[in-house]
Amino acid sequence: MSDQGIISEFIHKILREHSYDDVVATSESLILSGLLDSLAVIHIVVFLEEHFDIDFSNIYFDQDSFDSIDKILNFVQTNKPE
Amino acid sequence: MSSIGHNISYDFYRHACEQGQRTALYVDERKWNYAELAEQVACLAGWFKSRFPSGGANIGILANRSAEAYIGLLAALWSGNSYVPLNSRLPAPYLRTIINRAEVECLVIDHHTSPILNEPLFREQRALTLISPLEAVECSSGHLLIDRRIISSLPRLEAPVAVCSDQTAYIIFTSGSTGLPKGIAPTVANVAWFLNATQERYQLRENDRLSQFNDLPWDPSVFDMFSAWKVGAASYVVPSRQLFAPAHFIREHELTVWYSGPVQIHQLQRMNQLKPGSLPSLRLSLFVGEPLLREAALNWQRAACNSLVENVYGPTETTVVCLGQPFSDDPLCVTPERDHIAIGSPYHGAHVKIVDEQKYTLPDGEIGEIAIGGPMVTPGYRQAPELTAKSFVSLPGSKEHWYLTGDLGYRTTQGVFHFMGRKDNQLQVQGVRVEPEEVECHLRKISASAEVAVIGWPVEHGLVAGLTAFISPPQLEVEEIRRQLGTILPAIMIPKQIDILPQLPRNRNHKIDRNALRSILEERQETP
Repeated sequence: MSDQGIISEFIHKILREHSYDDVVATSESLILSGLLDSLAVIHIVVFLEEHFDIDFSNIYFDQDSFDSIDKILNFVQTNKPE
Repeated sequence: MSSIGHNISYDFYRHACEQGQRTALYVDERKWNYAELAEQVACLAGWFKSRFPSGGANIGILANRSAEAYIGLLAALWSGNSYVPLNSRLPAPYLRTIINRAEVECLVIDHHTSPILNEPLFREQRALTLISPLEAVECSSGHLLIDRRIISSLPRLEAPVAVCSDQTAYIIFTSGSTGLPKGIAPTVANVAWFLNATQERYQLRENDRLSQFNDLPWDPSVFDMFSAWKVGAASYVVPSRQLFAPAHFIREHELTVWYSGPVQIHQLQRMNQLKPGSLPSLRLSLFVGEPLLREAALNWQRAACNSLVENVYGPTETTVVCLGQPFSDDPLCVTPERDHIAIGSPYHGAHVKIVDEQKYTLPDGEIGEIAIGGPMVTPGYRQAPELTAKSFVSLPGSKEHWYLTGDLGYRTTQGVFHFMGRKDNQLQVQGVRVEPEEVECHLRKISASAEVAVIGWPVEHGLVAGLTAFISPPQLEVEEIRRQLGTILPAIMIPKQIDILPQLPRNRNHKIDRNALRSILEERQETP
């Protein structure tokens, strides 16, 4: 599966856990819109660490870069180890 | 008694006159020195003075983490009025309720928040006076917009006005178990006490850089701003997009004082951003709002290696906080039953007792209700005399005004206070005070279920992360119930999960058995 597919599947799983069953567009705001809360952000972080080997310890963390599937994909591509 | 010294903005003004080039505020990537900020404040205060010549009006601050917010609240105080910080993320009906209950006369807005007032709900009722002190904002017709041009056409108010010590400083709303939010209105005397007591305890200096992390509608923000401005120090507003993981912000600006809830420790820890020695600039770190676990305090202490780490405690009703316990490796600073840091000893001038149901003081070691007395006790709930009479009381043998916190605790023979949970069902959800009865009241109306109960669940790192509801069979789909709740209640108060049970368990007193409901959730967690 493509990175985008993996991220999209995970985000929709979290959304369902938040009782949101619709499909979101890859550009749709997830956090600023209030669909997901800060605890969901933690789940996203854990997922990205485990799945893409991203080390968050030295990353300048900006919530904006997690606000949509597109942005998360961009974040993963920038920060994934070579 | 009326005096210029009672005006909370007076120290800010004094620093603007004496050392105007010092940084007062960092917000939106800009540093404001005392003189620049005071100039904007004096302009807006001039408009308030012409509109409310005798002061005492309630000025809503519908602006977040923007210069407008700070200019607005300082100008409100400077001109002898009160400020009402408003959370722009609230659903429109909730916000409208607060604006009406606080009798807000006008609203300071910024370009992030002005679109909210285009909501039909705000247009159909009485027109509001909106103030945009800096840049022009887009705003629908129907409201009266006061912009910079109008403000600057009026004479400035060059110095803060004298106010009476019983004048309201600000009004903050917290969740109320009757279904309506409760308004708490500290006086300028209450706030002056708090600022003096914190200065005595923490000895802030003019070269300190304080975090302004806490949202304005949560009263620890009073410390973030006014404790800094009292001594000529700077308040650094953490941008919204960095609230989640603020370690970088602390390092970038070499903050010396940090103040937040303990949940930030867990978040940074989880993201591996709390490495030992990584926050060396901090010299004081205060944690408030929820129990501070020993392990969390230790993790922060290792990162903020030069900092005093202190757990602080106090309800909004007694003006921000009034007890504190420094963290150390002394086992006496830990509440052994719960492995969190004790709430410690009272700030200078605060009196704390543990009382029984008849309000008599209990001996050391016995668990009872925490009562707080002294100059920090606020006058009571606005427009709610019955609620006020229940919690703001006199105690046998004391002439002071006491507030019964509803928190349980005990005092050790060494004089250290420990927190042991709530007497009622009140919760701290991600640091926000929530009365489950308020959620239940709306849930009952919407679902038309015979029985409803709201539980603090899930619990992560010993802190309540969200709400779960149990209801008897409803008239609507669960999703529709959640959707409707979302239109009237803040997001934090919406149950993440709503479970339907044929009927809810009852205890021996025929009350809904919340412990039994919690056990259902615990069992479910253990057997996924």
